[in-house]
Amino acid sequence: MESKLPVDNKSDELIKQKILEESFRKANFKTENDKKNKKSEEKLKKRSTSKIGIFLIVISIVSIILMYLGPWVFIQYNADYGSDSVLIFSNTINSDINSKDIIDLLSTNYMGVSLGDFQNAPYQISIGFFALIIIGLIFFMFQVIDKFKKFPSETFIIITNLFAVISFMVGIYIIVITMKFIGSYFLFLQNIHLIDFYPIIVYIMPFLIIINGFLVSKYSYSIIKIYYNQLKSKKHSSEGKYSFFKSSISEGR
Amino acid sequence: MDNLSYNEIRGSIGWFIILTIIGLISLSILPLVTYYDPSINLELSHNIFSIDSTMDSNLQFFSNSLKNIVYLIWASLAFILLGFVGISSYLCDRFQKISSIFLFLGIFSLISIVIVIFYSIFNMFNVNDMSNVELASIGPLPIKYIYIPILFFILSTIFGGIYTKSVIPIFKTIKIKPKKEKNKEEIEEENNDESEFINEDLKFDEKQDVKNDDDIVDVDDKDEIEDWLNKQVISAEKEEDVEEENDDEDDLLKEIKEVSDSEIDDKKDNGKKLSPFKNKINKDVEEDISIESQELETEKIDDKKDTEISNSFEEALSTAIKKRGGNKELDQSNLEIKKEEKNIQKPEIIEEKNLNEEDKKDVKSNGEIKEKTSENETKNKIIKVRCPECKEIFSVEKKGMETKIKCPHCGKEGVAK
Repeated sequence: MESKLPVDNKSDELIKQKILEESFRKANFKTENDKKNKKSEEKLKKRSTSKIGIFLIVISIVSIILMYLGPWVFIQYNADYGSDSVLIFSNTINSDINSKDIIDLLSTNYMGVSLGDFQNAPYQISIGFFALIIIGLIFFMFQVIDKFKKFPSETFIIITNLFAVISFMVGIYIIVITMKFIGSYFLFLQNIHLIDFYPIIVYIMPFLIIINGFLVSKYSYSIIKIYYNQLKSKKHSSEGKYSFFKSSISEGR
Repeated sequence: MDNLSYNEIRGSIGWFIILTIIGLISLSILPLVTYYDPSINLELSHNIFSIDSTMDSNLQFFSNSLKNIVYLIWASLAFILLGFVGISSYLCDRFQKISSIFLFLGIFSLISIVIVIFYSIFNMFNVNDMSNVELASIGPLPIKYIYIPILFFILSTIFGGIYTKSVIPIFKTIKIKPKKEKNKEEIEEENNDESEFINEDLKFDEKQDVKNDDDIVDVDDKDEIEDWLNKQVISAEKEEDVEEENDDEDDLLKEIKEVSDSEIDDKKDNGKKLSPFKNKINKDVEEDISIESQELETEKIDDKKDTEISNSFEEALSTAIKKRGGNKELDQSNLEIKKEEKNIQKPEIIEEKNLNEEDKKDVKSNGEIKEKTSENETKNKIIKVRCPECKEIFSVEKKGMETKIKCPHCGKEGVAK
């Protein structure tokens, strides 16, 4: 067959072969890239539908419920009749504490925490959690709208990132507010020379809230990080293939 | 942008966030000042939350400045997070404007954290000047608690600086333009990239491609049309040549007929002795002419078949080559070759099946050579060639794509492909 074809010269034939190879590679490259882009976009969207809204709503509701129903502090102290312990709730703090010494301790500034803080702190923290619920709801709504409207994946990522940034900040705000109770330990140790008795104080709810706040901020940050890594790998994979393709062509493979 | 710089930015953002949060938490946890209350004659330590409860005006001022520091820390956190969003959007390639804004806001984190450091150091000196107020120290050690958050802020400043250093080159690469122009540019860039590949591969002149890229669609169309027209012209010329040859042959036939008729008439006039030769002459002439015309017809059919088979495939490839911009050189070479072909008649390649017994003997004698050539991946093929001049068949060793052949019988030269 080759002998029948009127081949002009050797270089011409080589050029033709190279063009054919190149076009074949290009076709393959394009189809593969299209497929991978589609897959990665789907993955990205799947990850983003990744329940961040639901997670924020659920964790906030659970935290608010626990905050108002769960015990905040466990205090063990030495009374006249022996050691006594008390669980203090935010709503019933005034009726829960029977010991005068503890009331005096919490009334003064020795620990940096007053009786009023146990009532005010849940209110401040709940504002943060309500903000998280609102963010979660907005994000959930955005996801629902996206299902019908189908925003471009890049727009979706940036909006998700912005929501994640806000939720991260709110999470840190909750942690910092709750740190007041953890800081009271340090202040207690610093002012211990002023205190006559040594109660054992364990903050239950503040620790749980700090854990929740940490989870919120961690999850939000990880979402930003995941999207960043996805976008980076997407970009670099395309650039890498591009460069490989380029090099292979230049080598005349 | 390298992969390293992306990682550097991400890493610096991560460390900045972690260190700033630790600094913020340590600032809110640790006791910062010790206040000597002269009324009760006692030293009492205070943290950021308990300072508010004191009535001392100096401490109130200190608490206000601490609040400002906290706000600045929050601002720096927000800025660096927006910077993170900015680098993500920069990777998208779609929101260059937004990404540039976010990345620029990210730089403010460094500014705000530097302000925090200077502000806290200023407050430290202020507290030392205050009466009844001291910075709280860690037990008997001379180290103050306030040094811990400041240390974290200084560390985060380093990472903020790394972020700023890594981000500044990005601003040089970002080009914010209207959408329409951008789209056009993107298309042009893509086309340029494609042409670059081809240029690198085929080593064609870049200038030609740049010219082609300016009006890609128009030039391509023109090229295709021109190619098609050229081919049409060539085929028309070929047909004309064939027709001319046929006309010449017809003229010859007429002339021969006329000559023969006149001769016959003369001979009729001279006497009817030559009558038996008349038919022979006519027959011989007619036979020769018919054979020649048949040969010409068969050659025409063969040529047409070859061109029909090859053209469909060759047209596609040749147009592709011409599109790539290197057609000028090729066209010139093709024209030269065509001219050569016109001057030199094509030697015909005969397949082994159609060879005579004598040829087969020759083939057998050259069998050893053929085997060797087949072993050497048929680099040098031995082919049988019939001379178009003397019509003698002889074997030739074909080297490469083209081999020049000289007939051993008549000395006619040609090219085997």
